[in-house]
Amino acid sequence: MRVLFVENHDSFSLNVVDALPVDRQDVVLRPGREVARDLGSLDGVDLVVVGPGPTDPARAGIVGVVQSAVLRRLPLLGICLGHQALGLAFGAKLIRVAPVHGKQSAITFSRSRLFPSFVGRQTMMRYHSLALTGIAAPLHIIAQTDDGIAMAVEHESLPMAGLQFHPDSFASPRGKELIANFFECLK
Amino acid sequence: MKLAELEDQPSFALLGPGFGGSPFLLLRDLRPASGADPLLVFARFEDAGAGALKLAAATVRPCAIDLDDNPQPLDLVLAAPDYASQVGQIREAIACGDVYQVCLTVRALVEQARGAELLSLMCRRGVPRFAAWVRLPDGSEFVSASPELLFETDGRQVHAEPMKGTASPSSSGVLEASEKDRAELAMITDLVRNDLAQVCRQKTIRVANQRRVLKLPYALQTVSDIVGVLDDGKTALDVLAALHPGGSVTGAPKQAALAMIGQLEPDLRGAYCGALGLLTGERAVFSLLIRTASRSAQGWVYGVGSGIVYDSDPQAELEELRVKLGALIASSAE
Repeated sequence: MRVLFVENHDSFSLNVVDALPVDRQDVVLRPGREVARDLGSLDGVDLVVVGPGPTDPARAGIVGVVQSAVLRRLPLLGICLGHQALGLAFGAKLIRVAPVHGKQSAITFSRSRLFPSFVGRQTMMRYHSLALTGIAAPLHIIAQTDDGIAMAVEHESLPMAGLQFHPDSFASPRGKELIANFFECLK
Repeated sequence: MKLAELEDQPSFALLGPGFGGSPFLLLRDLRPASGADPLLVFARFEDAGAGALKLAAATVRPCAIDLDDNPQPLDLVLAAPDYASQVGQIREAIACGDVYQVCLTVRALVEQARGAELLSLMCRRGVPRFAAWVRLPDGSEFVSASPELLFETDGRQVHAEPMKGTASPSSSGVLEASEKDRAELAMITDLVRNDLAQVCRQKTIRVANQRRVLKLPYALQTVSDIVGVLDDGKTALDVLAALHPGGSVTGAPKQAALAMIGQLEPDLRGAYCGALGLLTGERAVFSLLIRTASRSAQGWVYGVGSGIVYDSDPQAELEELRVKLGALIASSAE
């Protein structure tokens, strides 16, 4: 399997790469802006992971990467900034919320297509001060905080999902399992 | 050995117990060298870890030292005129998603002091783990009372110990209960895992301790322990290149935090927040040079800083800086 990791100047990128259920050699890391300029780098890729990072997806220049992956019907997992990019690509909006960085939250998962082993409450680590709002079909919210902030979305037919929290953090006990669940669903 | 005897030496490094001395190691007559055993390694905050200075010593020996009997208490004043406004700018950058935490530092000036006096003040309530007094061949000089291990390696094993979270020693239980301090440390723990992943074998990095309290004479601090197995061919110098400057003195994400530090802090940090290491055989130990005074034309410049997060209150952060001044202002004032 060939995985493209879209890197966005974050200090958590390699935690995500290390948490993927594949060998490190199967992952190609490329800066988000570079992929956006050269969408041919999506050729021959089996799965795209759009990683976390500061600013917002528009300023980071990565919404076009998600749109191109949609046209190619490529499996895509967005984490934090990548989740927000997935939302923007499907018409959702970003708003400021009370910043939460380095803190765990209880997150409630509803039944989903791409994370079938995860239903009910999970503890996950959060790093964000922006969040998606106005999420509408074909995206669906599949997890949220107790105060109603969208924490995960999936596409209703394409193999695409976004996670606002950090499954890669040491403080997300079942984070790696969650990512593995997504990869298993693609088989 | 009397500490004051070192004042006349052209170059030396006196290293505390954390570097393997008993209690101190004295390296004399330092000269640049690409390899030596032991090898002393130093990087300023602004240096790339890969460009660290490497030094060999003409003589290396363990030694005990006699502290100055009655070092004069110091009158330190923090120069932080724009501090509240700087904290405000960082909080706004956090709110719009540009950064998650920034370690903001300020300086205190000690106009007249000898290095021996400073080290004596720092050691008189117990020798700090990474106590150090270093004069480099170029004449630059610093004294450190650092309690922070940047990382150590032993063969292929690597261990990093970022420090984040501070309280006064009398405030029992407050630090442990603080969600803000817990989050500051957790952020840097994730950052250090990421930095170690550049040099470690895949899926070998783990957090051995999420949070434990270190008791210092003047403060309580929290640290985490992150361990991993180095990739084939990676050395302690590669680890330095990956970790320096340490995440606990930058903030996260590192690149964005360093850009804000560059905008907000008027002076370079230099040795302060740099790295000092000793490579001996299969082992290497690097301290992160916090609680460190550097000699300048005006006197000794002592830096103190703290991690600014969205929950930060400028008054509380200034109080934390005063606690950290306690490493230098000894008990006579208490």
